[in-house]
Amino acid sequence: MSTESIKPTARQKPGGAVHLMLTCLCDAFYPEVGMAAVRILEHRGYKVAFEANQTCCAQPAFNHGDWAAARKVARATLKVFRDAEVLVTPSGSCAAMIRWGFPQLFRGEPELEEAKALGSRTWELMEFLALHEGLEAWPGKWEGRVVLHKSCHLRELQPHNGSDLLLASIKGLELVGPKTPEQCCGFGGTFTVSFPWTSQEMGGNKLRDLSTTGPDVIASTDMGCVMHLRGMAAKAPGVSPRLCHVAEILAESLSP
Amino acid sequence: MKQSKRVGVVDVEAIGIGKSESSRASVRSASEKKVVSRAMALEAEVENSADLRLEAAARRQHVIDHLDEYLLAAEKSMTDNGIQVHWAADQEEAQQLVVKLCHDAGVKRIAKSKSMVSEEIHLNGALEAAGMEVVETDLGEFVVQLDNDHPSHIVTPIIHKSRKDVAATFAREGISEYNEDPEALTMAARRHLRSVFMSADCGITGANFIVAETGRLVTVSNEGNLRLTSNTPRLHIAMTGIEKIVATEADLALLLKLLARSATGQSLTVYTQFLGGPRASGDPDGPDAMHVILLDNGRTNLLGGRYREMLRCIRCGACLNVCPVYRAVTGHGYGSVYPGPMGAIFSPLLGGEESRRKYAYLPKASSLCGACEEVCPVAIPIPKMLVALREESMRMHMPGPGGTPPWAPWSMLATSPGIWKVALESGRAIGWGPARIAPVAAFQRWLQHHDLPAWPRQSFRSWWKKRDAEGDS
Amino acid sequence: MSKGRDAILASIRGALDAGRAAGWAPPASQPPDFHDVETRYLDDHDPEALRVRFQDRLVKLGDSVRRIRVADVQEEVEAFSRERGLQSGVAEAAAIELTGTSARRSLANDKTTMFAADHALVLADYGVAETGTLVFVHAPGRSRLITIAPPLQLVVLRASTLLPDLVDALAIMRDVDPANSVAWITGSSRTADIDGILIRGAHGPKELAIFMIEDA
Repeated sequence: MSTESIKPTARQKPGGAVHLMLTCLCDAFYPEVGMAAVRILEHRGYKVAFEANQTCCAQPAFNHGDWAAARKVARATLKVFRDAEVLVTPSGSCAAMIRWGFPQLFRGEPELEEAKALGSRTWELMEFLALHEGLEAWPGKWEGRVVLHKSCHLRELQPHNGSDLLLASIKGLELVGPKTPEQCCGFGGTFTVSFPWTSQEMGGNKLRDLSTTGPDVIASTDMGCVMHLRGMAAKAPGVSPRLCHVAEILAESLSP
Repeated sequence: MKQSKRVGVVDVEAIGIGKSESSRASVRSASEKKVVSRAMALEAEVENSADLRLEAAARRQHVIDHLDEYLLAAEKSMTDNGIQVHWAADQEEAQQLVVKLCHDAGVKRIAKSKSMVSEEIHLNGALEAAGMEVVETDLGEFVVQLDNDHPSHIVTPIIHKSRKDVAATFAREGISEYNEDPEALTMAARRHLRSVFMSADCGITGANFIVAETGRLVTVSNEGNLRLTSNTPRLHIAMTGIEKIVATEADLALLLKLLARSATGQSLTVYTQFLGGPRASGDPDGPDAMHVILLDNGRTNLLGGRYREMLRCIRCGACLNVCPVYRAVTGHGYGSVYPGPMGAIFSPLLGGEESRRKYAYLPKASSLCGACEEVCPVAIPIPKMLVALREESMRMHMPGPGGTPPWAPWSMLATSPGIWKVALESGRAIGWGPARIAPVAAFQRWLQHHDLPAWPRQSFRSWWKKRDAEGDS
Repeated sequence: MSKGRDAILASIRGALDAGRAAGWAPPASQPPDFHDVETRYLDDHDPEALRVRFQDRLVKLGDSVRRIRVADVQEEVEAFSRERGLQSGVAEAAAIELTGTSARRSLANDKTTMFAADHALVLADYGVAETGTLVFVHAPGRSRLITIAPPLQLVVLRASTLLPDLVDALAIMRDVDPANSVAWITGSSRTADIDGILIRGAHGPKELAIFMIEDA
């Protein structure tokens, strides 16, 4: 974990409320990931709350350097989740924004302590399952070969191999590893728009590496990566595997 | 090939696009190997590398945060050993110093060992302009010099070249007949350069560290040319940045255990040399005079401020080896002396306002993946500093890559939940049709390589509302 | 623009003072937060274990270590030299003393002879088992070029001078005059600059033949 990140310490009792941070991408394009996250949290016995006024974690503006704009949006996010005892998000990058980005964004600002407090209550979904729930296995069935693409922003969160363990434990699921797991897919949010050729070169390298074992599915912990790789695969020749969020597989595995 | 409209600004995309696929393939393959060998070396031989790097970071940072004291201590120790110490504030002063030292000693021919600092101050050109012959003796730098090229990596200068390229260069320059065998090429270079070591009047090298306590220079190398360059000619000039001070020889344990493993996957480089001073009377060899040049050249710009942690850098190159952007555009893609993640921070900050503008693009040419910070042996938080540079650029109205959306309208949207929800609903209703033809150049460029995500039939929000209404749980 | 030592020192002090005032750097008086991390990898002092590890590391690097008794050193070095047809070497007096004199090498240490020599016979001061490193302390009067110019190195090493770890190699440097240079040599010269292919004997020696005398 980056030495500069806030560690989540907030815990929820079984049956208690867990707030979902949907992320702007899933809000716009990927409702199935939000639904899968709800399914998973309810399976664990939590009551899921969804604040309708949530919008975005402010990462795009923060990464770009427009911290004035980013702070406006981040303040709104602090307000929306003020009463959330535990916040879970199916996105490494959004969790990292809150726990790594907000302390930088609010340095010297009155909201700094509040931001750090929210960070201590924010979990990434797979991190929540591995470290809050302490799970090493996941029930149900799911047939197929999966290659796991762990998104870069997990580096700013707590290290764990929950995603690997849980997927590998599912009956019928064959988990294979990428050859160069540390390599970024090239999305990077605004990076892909500012440096489209470089982003595509990185994406091509990544897709090639992820596809070498002939997987049925490429599963990721961030929809930004999925959107980027899906978008590229659609333009590339040849058969491409399904690309989805890890949460979708876990939820599908639970289905009767 | 897209040209940058802003004169003098380094355009990473244009340079990257211009590199050959063969060059990129060489860089990809070399980088992959180095990432694997670093991981193997650390896993096998350093049980607590995570702890070591944090302690190495603390000790390096301590010296940086008290740099004046440690530099003075190093100067005294070196002087006590008979080394002549000089301070150079900038490129011009450093060039003048070296030229004067060589001129005063009647130097005609200089054997040079690889030194990034000498690249930084464009030393060779200044020496040649003063009428001296400079011969690079590091194999990769020798090839770079013959080709009038630039190194593309701070440790392995020609990873962008293949054996075919080197064979062609050697044949063209009369070093050997055309022969692609790496052994034959290396032996040809060895034969050619041997006479240079013997006949050179002066050897110029870098230094990896200077130990403040003892005044010894520490150099790490594999080929042997550094040892030959520093000990054969009658004059030795070593140059290094002011930040390369280590407090004690015991502190070196931390750094030496991490440096070679991070750089090349070796436990130690073949030659770790601790140079105490010039030859003493009665010594059969060693230089008659040894000079050390301590270079600032903008390092004090980083000192004390939000980028001070970058000065811990020990030039291992691990960040270059793991960086996916480096792999895509190659070292030359950065258009600067220092490429890769460390270069993205040093290049805009060393040198003044002009560098800040010229290299304003570099900190943006990153997806902030954090792989660099993960492998750095002195735990430098590179992504944090890249983002900080972007924030400063914005405030200072520096040039930036075109095409990113304006953030004020977005922030208005994202702070008005009502409007936000309506915008998403409209998107779902209208689809991408109108947007596809939007005359936004960056978006159109992006569309060439990406398909757009589909708007879903049912949003999460309407699903959630329906669930709530039905009393689902 | 003002230049030189005073300017740089002023620049450093100004930057550090400003940084401390703005909260970027810790106060000057704040003691460093150092921890005692274990940098030592090997703490084994068992002589046999050290010898085995030292030899193993060097063999992996492509060089050779012959474990011999002190009574056999002269014969072993001569046999090796004869096998390789060595004729015009350079040698350190201390090494000659241990291995006996030979017409195959001389004590001459001028540059021309050094660079023309077909081999060197030297005595290492210490070895380091952790990494397979040889340590040469350049006391006054000792050649530095002898371990880098000749292409083949015959190195005599007393097994009793084997140190476990680099931490020990750094510790012995406390007793060395700071003005004296020290060279750590870990295998023979190499480069992988061309296509990542490892080639030995780039500029320095192509081969180390180590004769480790087991006298204890």
